[in-house]
Amino acid sequence: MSAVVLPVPHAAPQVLVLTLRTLRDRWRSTFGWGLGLVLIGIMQLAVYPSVASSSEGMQAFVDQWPDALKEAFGLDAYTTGAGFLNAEMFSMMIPLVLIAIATTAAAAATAGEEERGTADLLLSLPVSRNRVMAAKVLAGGIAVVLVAGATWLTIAVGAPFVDLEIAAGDLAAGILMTTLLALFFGAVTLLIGAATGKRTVALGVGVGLALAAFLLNALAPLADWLEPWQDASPFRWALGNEPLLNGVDVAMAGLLLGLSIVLLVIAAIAYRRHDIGGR
Amino acid sequence: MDEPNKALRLQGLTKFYGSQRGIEDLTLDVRPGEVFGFLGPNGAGKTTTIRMILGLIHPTRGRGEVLGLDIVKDSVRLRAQVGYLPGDLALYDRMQGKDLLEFVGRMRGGVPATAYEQLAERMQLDLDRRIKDLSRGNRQKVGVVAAFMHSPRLLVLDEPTSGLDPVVQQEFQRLVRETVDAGATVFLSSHVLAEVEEMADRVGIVVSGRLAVVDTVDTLRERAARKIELDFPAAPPDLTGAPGVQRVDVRGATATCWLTGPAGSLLKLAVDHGVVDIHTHEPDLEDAFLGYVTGEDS
Ligand SMILES: Nc1ncnc2c1ncn2[C@@H]1O[C@H](COP(=O)(O)OP(=O)(O)OP(=O)(O)O)[C@@H](O)[C@H]1O
Ligand SMILES: [Mg+2]
Repeated sequence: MSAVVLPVPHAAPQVLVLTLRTLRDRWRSTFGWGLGLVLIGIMQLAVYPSVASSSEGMQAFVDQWPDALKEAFGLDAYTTGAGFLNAEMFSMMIPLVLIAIATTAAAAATAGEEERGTADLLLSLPVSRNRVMAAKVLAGGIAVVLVAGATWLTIAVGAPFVDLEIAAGDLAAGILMTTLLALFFGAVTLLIGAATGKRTVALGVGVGLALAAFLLNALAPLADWLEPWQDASPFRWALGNEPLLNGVDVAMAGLLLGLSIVLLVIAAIAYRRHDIGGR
Repeated sequence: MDEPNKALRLQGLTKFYGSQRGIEDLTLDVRPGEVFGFLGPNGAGKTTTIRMILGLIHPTRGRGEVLGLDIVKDSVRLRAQVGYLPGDLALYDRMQGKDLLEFVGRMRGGVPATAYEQLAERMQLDLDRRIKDLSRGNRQKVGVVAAFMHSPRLLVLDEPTSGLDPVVQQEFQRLVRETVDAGATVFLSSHVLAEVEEMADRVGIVVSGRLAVVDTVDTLRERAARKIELDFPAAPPDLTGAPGVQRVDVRGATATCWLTGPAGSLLKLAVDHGVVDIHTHEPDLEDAFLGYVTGEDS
């Protein structure tokens, strides 16, 4: 009998190796989403001067709309820098792309490995499911933060060229709140994937809830019966206080982060209990 | 750690998928340094058992230990001692063989590249190709290398030779023997006795989720019903009465007999009836099993 007892590897290098491996696996899709968002940002910046120069006419036109409609489309102050960025980027485009990155990464994290059948190999290695979960969360988080950072950089660098006025801190606040929003829906998706092992179910629930939350937040001002429910939308939590004008809403940021952490803990527990499906 | 006197110990291990039985009440010991063949037809519960040992699925009841480590409570430490080849092997397709093995090695805390390069060379596996571009058999070789490369104390191999050509199967058998000589234990599953009988010291046969037989390969072969085909000039005589004959199938002028024990009386009877030709076959799994069940009360 070989008496050599093989040791369990240390956590940090193991988690790092799996995080890097996962990032490499998701590199192309992350890069694609990121590039798309950056290009849209550049395009939007490029049209800003014409919006600003026609500011009186444009604002007068928008001002005729009912308040609820303006709020719904984020058009309250369309021709100001913050109002323009809010309407064109932060009310829909940036959050939805970041959510897409977070939810696809989360669905691939455990359920995707399971459906591809690679979970058998990965989980036969001396690594706990908690560590696997940690590495997957790190990789997904890094992907979201990288794209969010690239978007921030694009706008921060590009704004002065087109005379778009936005406080650096407020821009960062907008990016931070949308990033937290994306991480929240990523955590929801991860939980469903860890508990069911089914990638499409996880993605469907995560993306479905995100779209419902988006629509609820956007349409609530238009319908009386929806209005009381607006506060239930995580989009409202993240963007209701207009971070591009007012900076970070610490309470809401804490709420999103706290709920995400709770969801991740439940996901880790569910994953430990889950029977990995054979192919 | 105390040196346990069992490499693998399963006690009443049971897995139900809902109401579907995977394996029930499996009690089994595998000794250190042994090659144990875990045999059974499709759906018998082999993969279910193996995936419980690795902690991929959780037992409904019962317990198990590998080298004294509990399969549920000590799963991570247990897996450090084990090399596993999945039955439905799936690898990270976009990686090259060497990148995958390097990844596996790092997740195991570092395995020198020479370890997997030497194994790959033995198996005639090209590590520079992307896994998705490899043939099924070559992909299986990557799985074999991944299971052996860290010199584990216990190898758990689920149908290891599936997809391997005969030459590579031979090399694989040599690898198993060397590994055992170096002190490891091997637990491998298969559908067919012939595939494991050269390697295995003992075999267990599972049928429909229950362990039917555990015995040495030699005893099993001895007690196995051998299949003998007898061609007669016309309709065969009634052979069921001959000593040791378990079963007879008649087709035209050919009688197929399953026989345990000496063949003398059967052959004498056949000769008396003018037998024209005789074919014998190596016992396969069902034959072995048949011989066992019926041999029990004789
Ligand atoms: N995830 C699952 N859900 C439900 N039933 C399952 C599941 N996995 C296996 N089973 C059932 O459990 C039984 C044992 O299956 P198992 O895969 O362990 O058999 P096996 O001996 O490995 O068969 P094979 O030789 O075909 O690989 C079968 O009846 C199978 O249908
Ligand atoms: Mg199987």
